[in-house]
Amino acid sequence: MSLVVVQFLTGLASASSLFLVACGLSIIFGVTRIVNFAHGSLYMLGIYVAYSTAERLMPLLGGAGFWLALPAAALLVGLIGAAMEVTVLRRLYRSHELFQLLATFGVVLIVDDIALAIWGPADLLGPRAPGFDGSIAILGSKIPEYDLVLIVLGPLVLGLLWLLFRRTRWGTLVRAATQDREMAGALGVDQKKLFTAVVFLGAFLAGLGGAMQLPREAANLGMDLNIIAEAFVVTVVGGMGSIGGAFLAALLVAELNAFGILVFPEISIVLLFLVMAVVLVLRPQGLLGKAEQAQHATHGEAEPTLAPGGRAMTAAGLLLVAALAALPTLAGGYLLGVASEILILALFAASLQFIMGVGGMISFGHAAYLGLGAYAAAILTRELGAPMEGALLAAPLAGGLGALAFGWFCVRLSGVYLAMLTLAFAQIAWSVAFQWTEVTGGDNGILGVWPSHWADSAARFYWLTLALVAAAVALLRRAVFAPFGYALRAGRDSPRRAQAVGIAVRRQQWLGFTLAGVFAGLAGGLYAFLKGSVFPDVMAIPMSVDGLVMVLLGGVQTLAGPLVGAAVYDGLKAELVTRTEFWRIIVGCVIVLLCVAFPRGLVGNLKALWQSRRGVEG
Amino acid sequence: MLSVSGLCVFYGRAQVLFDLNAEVPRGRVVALMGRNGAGKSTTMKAIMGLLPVAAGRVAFEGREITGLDPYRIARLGIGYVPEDRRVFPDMTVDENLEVGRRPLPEGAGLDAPAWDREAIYTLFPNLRELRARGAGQTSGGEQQMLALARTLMGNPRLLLLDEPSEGLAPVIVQQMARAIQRLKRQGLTVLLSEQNLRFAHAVADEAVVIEKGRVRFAGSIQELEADETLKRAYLAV
Repeated sequence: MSLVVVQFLTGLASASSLFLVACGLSIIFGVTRIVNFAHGSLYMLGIYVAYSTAERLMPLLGGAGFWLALPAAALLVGLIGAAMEVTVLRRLYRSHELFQLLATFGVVLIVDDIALAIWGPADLLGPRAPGFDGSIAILGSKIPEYDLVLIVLGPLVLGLLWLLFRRTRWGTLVRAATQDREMAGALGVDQKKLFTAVVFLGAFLAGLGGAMQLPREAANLGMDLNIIAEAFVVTVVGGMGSIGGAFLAALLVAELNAFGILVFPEISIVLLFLVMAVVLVLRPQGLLGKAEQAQHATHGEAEPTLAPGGRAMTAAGLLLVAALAALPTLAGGYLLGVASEILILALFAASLQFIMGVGGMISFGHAAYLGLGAYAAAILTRELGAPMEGALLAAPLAGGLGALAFGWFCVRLSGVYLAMLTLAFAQIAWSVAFQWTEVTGGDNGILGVWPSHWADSAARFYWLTLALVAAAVALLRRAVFAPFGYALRAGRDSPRRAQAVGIAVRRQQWLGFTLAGVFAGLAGGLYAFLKGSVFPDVMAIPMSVDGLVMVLLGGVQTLAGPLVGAAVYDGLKAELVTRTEFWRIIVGCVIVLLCVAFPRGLVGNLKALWQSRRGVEG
Repeated sequence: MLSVSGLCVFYGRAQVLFDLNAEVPRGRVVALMGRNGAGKSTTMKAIMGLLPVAAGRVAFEGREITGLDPYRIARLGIGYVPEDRRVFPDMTVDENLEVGRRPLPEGAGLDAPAWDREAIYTLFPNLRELRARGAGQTSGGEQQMLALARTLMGNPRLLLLDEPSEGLAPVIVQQMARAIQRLKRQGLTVLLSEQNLRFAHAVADEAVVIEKGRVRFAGSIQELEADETLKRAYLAV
């Protein structure tokens, strides 16, 4: 009994910080319609800044220094958030949600490296909270006093926010802008100021959430992605834009975590995401969220139409394959390894581009299918002794089956909700790989996954990769211009009208999602044999984002894009990692710049330039 | 008071307004008339800064406002009531009015009264009873009243009314016409877009008729009323 009470109170205490982060995310999304991927980074900055501030203030002021450091850290993080709004977010309000998510992920990378440079890689354990450093007995079990502070803080902030939004003019204006920002502007509301203020508030809450964790856990560089995945779950389960929903969902999630560890320590993360999936299927708008109303779309640029390349394109493609096939005569083993990796990632990116560009579904968890393919291949060869050929057949099957299962849920949603759900599923897959040690080896991965004898030289494996990737990309292109692809694009551009002409849009998207999973799985199988090993990293968030960046680099609406994107990005990253410890900040800046300045990607922009030079009507 | 000259507006590559000219003198009510798709709403939105203007200029009280942000244009004293009303559905009637509230700019207020909730509820008595109700739970007519009332709370000197009679029951249309007539008597300048000649005739002094984004007629409403060929060519459905 007492264990239940302890776990329950611990859950309540954890819920507070989670609520602060999630409701900040939700408030920012409500007004700006941007899902701030960097919100976890603001949380992480909160605890780091609180650590440094407390370190300086406590020798001067004693206990008061600690209690001053927490709001001071939150305030500073709020200002950092406001600066981020002015420099990055403001330029993205009219962009596609993909660029918004990606650009803010770029900020995640930048903040990661800045934190690494300032605070170093070691965990930093903060001081205990003066005045609340003991524990008290409740029903015979000891509860840290500080937990009680946190338990009170959550409802307190909820109440204050309620007052702010219901009882002040500023809150009324924010709610108006949440419902129809263009109309609010036409009534004289200065959106720029309002947006900056709202992002300040959201960042302040995230910073406070982080700072309040100072006495509870050590500050570390992995906090940003951990909390953001949970915050996504909380906002989606609670309902985007609903503060009360965020509170409810934070309680649910935190208690689920607290008790899940007691009951199924192995799969507590899975439990969390399963709850999310169930809620989303039964109530797509979240527990307290309102069904999405039709937004007054801003008149953006129409997307250029995809057109088949014609004979010249086919010839150029064949020529490219021929030229690539000749590479082993020029390059040695290391370079061929890099080239194989680029080809594999190009296939991964092409499969992602297929569902994004053609299907209109943004996946932030496409690495799940790459990983499923890789693990299927590795487990088959290592555990069951299957030959490489069999494993390479099983890999796309595994990727496809995974996509079939996850996709069934995902196609029920659209836009950012879909993106967040795909991310959640990828986290499930990742956590299974991470925690199911008996089968996957957990963090140690599966080693010794080598190709069959006939393909075990670098050149031969490269040729095998080239052949499979070229065939797969050709098939994908074929699918784009087949009736199947047309139907997908119709569903992307106008779901209702597509349905009216007899296309089962949801089923079409489901099949498209599965097809992309098949090809990602094939890429995963090849990846496992190329590396000779598989680790959970292959399906972690950064891998999914890498795929997105490659697609984006090349241009979402450009079929050749993913190939170019993979070559440029993977080559660049391989080069950067060898040169500097701080490669993330460079990649992050590139991503942000790309999203802000070149939303059509490298190939897309070149194509646009070429067309405008020739005066071709697009 | 408002002067539009040589206005050109595009949706993507398609041009919707061609070299459009219009004048709205102080204290007058001007009806912008034309069929569906003629470019009436586009003109309104372009004046309000909600659509990019490709060429031409919009001047308000002698000051060029082309290219300004909508909120700046609103703060200069132009109030906009969109055709689809766009009330904030999840907020109460009272809160909707609060969003529109703006203090009277200094030196203004000579040709229009300062609006507050009391004055609004006197003009639209049924809104008073609905003040605590969610705007999304009110009828189309009530929403149209609310949209107008919300804009009046900003104390505009020029009112842009986009299709105020569209989709409303005849009784409500009459109420709307009376409200506009009262606003006009109080000295408010109005540019309204309208397809319905009877409604326009009831409230407007002047008319500008457009078709396919071009001005076909500009003159007094009586002249338009008298010209059967013009009416048949550009207004008859």
